[in-house]
Amino acid sequence: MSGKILRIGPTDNTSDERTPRSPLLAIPKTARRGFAPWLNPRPASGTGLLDLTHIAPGKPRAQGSAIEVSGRISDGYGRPLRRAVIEVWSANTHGRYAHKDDQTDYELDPDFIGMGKLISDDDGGYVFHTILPGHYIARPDIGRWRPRHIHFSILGGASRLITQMYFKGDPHNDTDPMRILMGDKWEALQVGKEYATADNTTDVGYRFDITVAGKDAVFFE
Amino acid sequence: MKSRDTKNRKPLTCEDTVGPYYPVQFLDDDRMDLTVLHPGLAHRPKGQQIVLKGRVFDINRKLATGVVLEFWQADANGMMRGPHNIGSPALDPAFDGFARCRVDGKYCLKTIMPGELAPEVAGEAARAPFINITIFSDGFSRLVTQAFFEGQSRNAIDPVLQAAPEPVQSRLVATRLNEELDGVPVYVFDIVLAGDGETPFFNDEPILEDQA
Ligand SMILES: [Fe+3]
Repeated sequence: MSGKILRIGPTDNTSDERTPRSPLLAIPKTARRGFAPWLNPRPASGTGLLDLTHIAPGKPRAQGSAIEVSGRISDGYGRPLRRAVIEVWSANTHGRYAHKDDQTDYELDPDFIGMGKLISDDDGGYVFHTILPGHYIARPDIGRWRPRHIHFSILGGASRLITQMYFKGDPHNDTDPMRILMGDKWEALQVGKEYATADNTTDVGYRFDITVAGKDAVFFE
Repeated sequence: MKSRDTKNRKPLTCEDTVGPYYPVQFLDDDRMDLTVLHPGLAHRPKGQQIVLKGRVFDINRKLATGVVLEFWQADANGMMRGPHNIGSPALDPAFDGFARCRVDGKYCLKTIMPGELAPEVAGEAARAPFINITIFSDGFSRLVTQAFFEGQSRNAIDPVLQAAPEPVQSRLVATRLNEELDGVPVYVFDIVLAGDGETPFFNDEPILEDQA
């Protein structure tokens, strides 16, 4: 069986230095268990609305456009992924991450951290409020921009996924190498679908349904 | 192609890179010590305490900064937590087997020697002791590999270790140092992400595709 060869991911600084050159080895069918962690969610996490638009009660709302992001996490058969740990992180409205390693000179919003953790509900659903992230230049050396995006990590049900949600209409979408690599699937799978939100705490909602398939999900059937 | 497996399948969300800014506060430093379940707890898991430490190198043999590492392993009885064994009395209640850290190329995990994994699910092979390691970094989404331990007799018949070509198998085996750390045996497992001496990594994509 020939192994999968990873492609150098063109959006990142270190991809050339860190991407394995040898094909990935196939995992024998008799030994698939153990490749992804299976964890009960930490008790500190809850399923209520995660609000990243305020860093603390009584503090001003973060700069930029407040948005709602919601969706449902399921496996390839449409079964809900319950109690999954969802981690999200993104840049602020100016395109700057509140992360010590982000040394760019985009403005840091004192009222936005943009990192949060939530748990999917019994139907695999999730919802959080945040700020529409700005785009930013990721590789000034070669003039490469990243369009607006929110990072997601999904851990649960013996599966895991690292992905990003994108936004329609960003001027840098068409030149984003990750989008180009994903081809036609990008618009259907990776772009949040706009909807009108019910209240006026947010300007607009984006639906982002996520489909995961941990290998164990099938193996254990 | 098994029709049941592919019928009405939803297209999977695409993997994307983790980028350089994975939130540091999502990580819990205490979880690099699996010999205690919660800080301050007197209970200790069963088994031989060990230290697993190593470095993560890039293609130029420079330390890879800002990598997130996850470790996942069985308890001393060889029980690995999963949906199929929830509530099993055989699970060590003082051990959960999961650690996570963000490091600048050097890691150090305090844990216990995992037991040999017994088949718990139909069709499964017995396993030599191993610790699963997942690496997240700017530049790729994630990589998975497994660290085995020098001197374990089952290494010779472990299906994952034996899936690696013979010339590179030793790269999956942690070597035992002569010295100890606080009386605990120390094993070294270096990871080379790319190039000369590259660590073998595994394709843990959904099994759906290899049933085709
Ligand atoms: Fe980003």
